[in-house]
Amino acid sequence: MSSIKRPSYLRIDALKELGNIGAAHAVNGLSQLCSQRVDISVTNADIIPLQVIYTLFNGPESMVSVVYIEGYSEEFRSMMFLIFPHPESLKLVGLITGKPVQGEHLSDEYSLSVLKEVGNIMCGCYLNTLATFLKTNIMHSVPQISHDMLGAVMDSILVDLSLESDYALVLETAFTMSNDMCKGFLFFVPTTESLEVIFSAIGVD
Amino acid sequence: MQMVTMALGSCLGIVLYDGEIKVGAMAHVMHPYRDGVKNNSNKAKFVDSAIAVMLGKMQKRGARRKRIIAKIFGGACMFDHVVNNREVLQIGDKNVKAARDVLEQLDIAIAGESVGGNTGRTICFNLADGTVVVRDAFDNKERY
Repeated sequence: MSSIKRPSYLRIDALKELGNIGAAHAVNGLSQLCSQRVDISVTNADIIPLQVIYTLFNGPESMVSVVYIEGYSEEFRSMMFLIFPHPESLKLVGLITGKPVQGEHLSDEYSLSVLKEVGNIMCGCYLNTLATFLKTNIMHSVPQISHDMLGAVMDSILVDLSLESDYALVLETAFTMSNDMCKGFLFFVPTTESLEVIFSAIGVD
Repeated sequence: MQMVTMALGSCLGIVLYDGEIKVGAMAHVMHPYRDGVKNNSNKAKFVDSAIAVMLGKMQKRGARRKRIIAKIFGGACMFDHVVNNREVLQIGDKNVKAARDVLEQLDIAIAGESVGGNTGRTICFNLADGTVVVRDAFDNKERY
């Protein structure tokens, strides 16, 4: 089953702190983008079965918008995804563009592009913070977006992880806009090798 | 009786059915082939091993290979571009191809399919008549 060893409590704590700082920068980016106060939860870091992500929402069929970005450097690779439940994602796009989204779903190129940009800014901030800690350059991929059933989107993202293990170390942060208008989740999933890079860079051996 | 599997993305829903004795099986697989994969203890995750398991169990209940038909669903590409040229996000196509190849080798005809594209699918398989209702995230339904 699990081929990932649980890191020590000290290491998990260090990861949580790293996630907190990264997420704080990411959410700060979002806050500036839409001139709203955004609250964040304390980052949760743990090894979880990949399916647990579905339980954060109303099961695998719940409608979501997912922005997916990969962060990488020479010795480091990670996945990041930003999940906005439906229909909050529509409100967020409306808030940023200043006009309500037409229709029930995010189907036009423009709205999707707005959310991609949100992902770009948030994940960019997160990875930049991480890069400062690791004293390296972290590049990130062009954002990808999918507006569909949670299970269908996540399966496609997690498919290569599942070749290695049914579990992954996941850093998860939830955020909510001040008027409860929109909430979202930010996930950071480093590969097992990248974890070692992180630990040695921040000096928790 | 109905069998349901929810939110197929790049995953593939495989349905096998022997209409004469109304015995059927359904699998929700993630990867094409089991060989060479490190984490391969779960046979239900791979196209080739899942079909073998389903056939075995159906035959135990009296199904005959000659009467069995197959239907396949899913294998979509949920993102429009390939990230960093990695092939991972094209896994949907590979799953579909693997299913076609494996079923052809076993001489099982594909009687219905809704594969590819870029939408997720939920499938409901009715064992009384072998029909499968496919529903997408926008609640469009089609019968196969």
